[in-house]
Amino acid sequence: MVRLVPNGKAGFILMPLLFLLLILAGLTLGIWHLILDETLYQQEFMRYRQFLRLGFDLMEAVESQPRLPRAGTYRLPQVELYPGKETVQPLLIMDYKPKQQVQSLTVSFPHSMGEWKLRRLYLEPPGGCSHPLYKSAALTGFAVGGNSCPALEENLYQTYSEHPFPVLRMDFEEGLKGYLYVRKDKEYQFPAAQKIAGDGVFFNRTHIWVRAGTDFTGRIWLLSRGNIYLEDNVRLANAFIFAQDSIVVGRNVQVCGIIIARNNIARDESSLLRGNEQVVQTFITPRYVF
Amino acid sequence: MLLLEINFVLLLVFILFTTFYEPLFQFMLGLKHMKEDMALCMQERLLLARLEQELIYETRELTLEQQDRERTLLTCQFLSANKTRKFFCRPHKSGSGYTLYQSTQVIGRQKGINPLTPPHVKVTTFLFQPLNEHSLKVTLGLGLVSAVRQRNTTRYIRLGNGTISAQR
Repeated sequence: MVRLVPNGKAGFILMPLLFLLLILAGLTLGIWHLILDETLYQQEFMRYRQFLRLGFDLMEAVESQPRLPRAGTYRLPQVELYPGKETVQPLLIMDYKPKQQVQSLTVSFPHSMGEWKLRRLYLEPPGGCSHPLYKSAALTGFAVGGNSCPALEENLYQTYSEHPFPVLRMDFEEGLKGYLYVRKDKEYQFPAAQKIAGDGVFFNRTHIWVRAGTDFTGRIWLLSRGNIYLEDNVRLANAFIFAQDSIVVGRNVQVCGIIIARNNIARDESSLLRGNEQVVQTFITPRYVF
Repeated sequence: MLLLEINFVLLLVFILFTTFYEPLFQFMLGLKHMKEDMALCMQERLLLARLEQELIYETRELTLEQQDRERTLLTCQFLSANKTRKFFCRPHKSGSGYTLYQSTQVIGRQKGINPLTPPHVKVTTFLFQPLNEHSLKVTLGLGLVSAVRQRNTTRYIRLGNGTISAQR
């Protein structure tokens, strides 16, 4: 048996050899890990770029069709990714039917490490764009629907709740991005005296408060299954406001668009509501991954 | 006795090292080049990932301004209506190449300017050429300040939510 301790004769030869071997093994292992990491990152990056290219091409191809195919999930032919020759089967998911409040077009790539999804939403007001209630409301700016008022399809909004309501002041300062924003639980308050640019659709299952002095300059939809409160001096330049219960409009509020409530609209006399039927046209969100 | 043996070991290591100095030197040089390539590769990936993310998903309107044959000034009007970001190059401290910066402007707030490349990396080419209303060709060249190694890449980016508005 070879003795590795220095007081043995074999130790003279073995010690430096072991020492060198140790260094070389460490170096080799380090390089191997570096190369492996780099290869994995690079592979992931390349894979992501292929999804991106295919996803956008597919979505544009569908959107440019003069007549959309029937709603449903379509399994498309398999695609081979490089490097690694991994095959993925793209899915095209079309969720729409006439007057459905949230319609979607989704391209999905399930792969070995997860799923990559690209989506765009098409939002319709309750009852559809050409509901008679909106036509009459366009003349005066507001209407109480009563029993004939269409209902909000809460389940649909919850299904597409990828974007929560903005909460940071910075989100409002930078401006809205045009998404569907969904809140599931508590009532929501927009900040007071804030100028908010950009477009967006806000769905909340309970009350929405727009605090005094807030000014929306873009295209806004406020949808609530509870009440909506527009406090004093609120400005909405291009708005569709729909409450399943009631709407309270404060003093000196100015709204251009359509206000609909099922039960009651309490408005101060100094408020100015101007009708605009254009606000109930289909609202199309940007494409987003999630 | 133990001290003597350790000295022998060190002597043997020294002899081995001097004998294999040349291949070892080449090996170390190869490692250095590999490390430099990896650093450049990582920087390229970071920059392209950032640019792709912002151009593809976040940009509503992109304006390109050719500064010279190697540089383009990008102005991105984001989906967030009040936010604009510019990507531009300024000469690197070392005298050759450029440093890439981003300048973010939100209406009502102070402009913020930050470098996107670390001091040891210089940008040699930052060129964006429009192909059509939605697509552009990106040529990105990166180099290291302390070495001659460079890395050039060409990518094609298509704006997912915006258009290329004008080329000035």
